[in-house]
Amino acid sequence: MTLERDEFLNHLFGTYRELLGSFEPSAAFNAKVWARIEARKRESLGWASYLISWSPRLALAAVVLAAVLLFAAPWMGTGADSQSALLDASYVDVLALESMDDQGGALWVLAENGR
Amino acid sequence: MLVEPKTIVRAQSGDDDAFNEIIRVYRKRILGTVYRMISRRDDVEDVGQEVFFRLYDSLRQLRKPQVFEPWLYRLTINACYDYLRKRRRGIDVRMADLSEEQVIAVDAALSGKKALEESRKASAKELLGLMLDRVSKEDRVLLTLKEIQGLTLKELSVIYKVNTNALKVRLFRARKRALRAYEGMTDEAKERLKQEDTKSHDFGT
Repeated sequence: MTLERDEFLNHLFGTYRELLGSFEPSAAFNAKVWARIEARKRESLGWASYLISWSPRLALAAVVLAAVLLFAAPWMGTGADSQSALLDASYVDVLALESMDDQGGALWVLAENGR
Repeated sequence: MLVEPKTIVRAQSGDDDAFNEIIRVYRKRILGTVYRMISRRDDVEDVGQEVFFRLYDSLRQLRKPQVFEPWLYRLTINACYDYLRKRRRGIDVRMADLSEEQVIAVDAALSGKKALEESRKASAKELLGLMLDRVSKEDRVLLTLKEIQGLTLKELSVIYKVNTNALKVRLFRARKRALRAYEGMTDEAKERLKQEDTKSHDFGT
């Protein structure tokens, strides 16, 4: 950028600064900032009180759900034994299962593990 | 610093009177900065409120009260960025539609004619504002802080957290782009005025 253009730009900004003047805050500026802050506080308090009012019901629901799961557990675990052989199988066994399942190989691997 | 560090510490611990004192002391400076950055009088207070609102929300994160001012400037810059981003999306500034009045006004302002009429002053201000609209929001904010607000390179280096040499390079590039934007704008406007003039002559003959 040449010196002439540089000076021109300085002049441009100087003119803008002069034309822009200053800005005086309105008398209600502080009050408006506080109104915004208070509105945010109320909003967050609103959510907190909403959660507090629902918390006994949420706690009761959690207890009921836990009790239901506890009683239902013996019936839910019926298939666990049949899967145990698979769960005990090593990574290599599982790979073997995948590659041989069309030739009855899966049964052979499981039988080997069972011995 | 315009307030004592202990006032900032009090505000950090939830003292609303101390925070009110911070607003009272800094509002004029912050609103002035916002005004220079966004150059829309109607929106200045809104953006300024947003700055102090964000300050209230995040004041506790400030570890050293001594760096409060650069930190407040950063909040101000970020609020202005957000505003300018939204405005840029909403407005399609058509530079070629500048009026003859605006081109004459800015030419008069730049040639140093002091007795610029009020209406022309408004036009020149609008035109120069449009020039800043044409550069990126990053350039606009940097140029405003340095060239219009008058911050030193040292002050800017604290705000931007970069060394002064890097800032000089950024500033040089931003000035170059602003000049290009200005030249592009006035060329377009003058070209349009010339075309309109030719048309009216043709119509007259």
